Amino acid sequence: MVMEDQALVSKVISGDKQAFMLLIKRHERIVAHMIGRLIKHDGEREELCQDVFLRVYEKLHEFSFQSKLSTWIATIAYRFAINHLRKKKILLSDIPEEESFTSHFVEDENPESIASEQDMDAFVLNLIDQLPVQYKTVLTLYHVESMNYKEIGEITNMPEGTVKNYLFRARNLLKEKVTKYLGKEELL
Amino acid sequence: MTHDDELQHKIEQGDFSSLPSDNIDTKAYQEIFRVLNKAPEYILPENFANKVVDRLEHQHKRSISFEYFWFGFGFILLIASLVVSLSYTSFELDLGFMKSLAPLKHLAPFKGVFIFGALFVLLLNFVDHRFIKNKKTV
Repeated sequence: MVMEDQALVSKVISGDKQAFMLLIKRHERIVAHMIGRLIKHDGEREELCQDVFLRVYEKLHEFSFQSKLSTWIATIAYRFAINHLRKKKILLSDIPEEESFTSHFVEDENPESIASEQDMDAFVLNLIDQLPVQYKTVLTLYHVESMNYKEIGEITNMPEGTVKNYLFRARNLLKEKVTKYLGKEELL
Repeated sequence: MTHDDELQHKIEQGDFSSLPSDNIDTKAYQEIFRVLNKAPEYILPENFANKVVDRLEHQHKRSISFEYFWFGFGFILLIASLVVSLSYTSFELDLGFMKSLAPLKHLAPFKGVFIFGALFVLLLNFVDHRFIKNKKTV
């Protein structure tokens, strides 16, 4: 795949538009997943994904194959998403405080919204949306893209230990809420 | 390792046999892992790659027009300032060594050609640097 990527990148740099289209098709999934999970406004997602690939095209000659091409593209997508959220003045809690965030997340309960949830998938996805951006990113890259801690660390610029910590904490937070939901379900 | 960490590890490794089956935490984690492993619903349209390439070409055309505009504007400004400077200073071409070049004085009527030649070479270098070399990397 690395050799294939190298040949593809060379073609794109030499101006081959078909090669660029192939590069987009190969990597659009990971970009869509990153942007789709971090940006909630439907109308902004596609344009942001386009911006990511335009930046990829612009910076491709600087890519030195120190990492996988998909990791490099995901890094650009992550930075674009973060910058977009900052521009929109959407609060980015850098590193959530263990105690305060956990208690806020777990205790902040809207019984009506829980009762109205029809299925577990929608309930968990809604909970994921409420998590800090860093947690959502780590969860998406690990579970959906099957990336390891090192790759996720490269994308998010976090140490591997932090990635692992965030992953476990995020799943733990989700569990606290889901156990409440399951408890409620059993009572019904 | 906490009880939660242990549960997460076991589910991740598919070690379901050692999990307490009637435990609500186990059930919750299994549900969470199932949902997390699903791809997000958002997908890009079929023609996404075409749209990106269209935008790229549009940007490229716009940047060329912009560069030509500034090039033309700069060139006109240069000529205008040259004319104004010459007219204000009553400049006459004398490079200080014209007398020693007396044998070449028959070339004097063509000095405009030499100046034009020098300027033209500079201009070509500028165009080559700004436009042609840049386009090769796009």
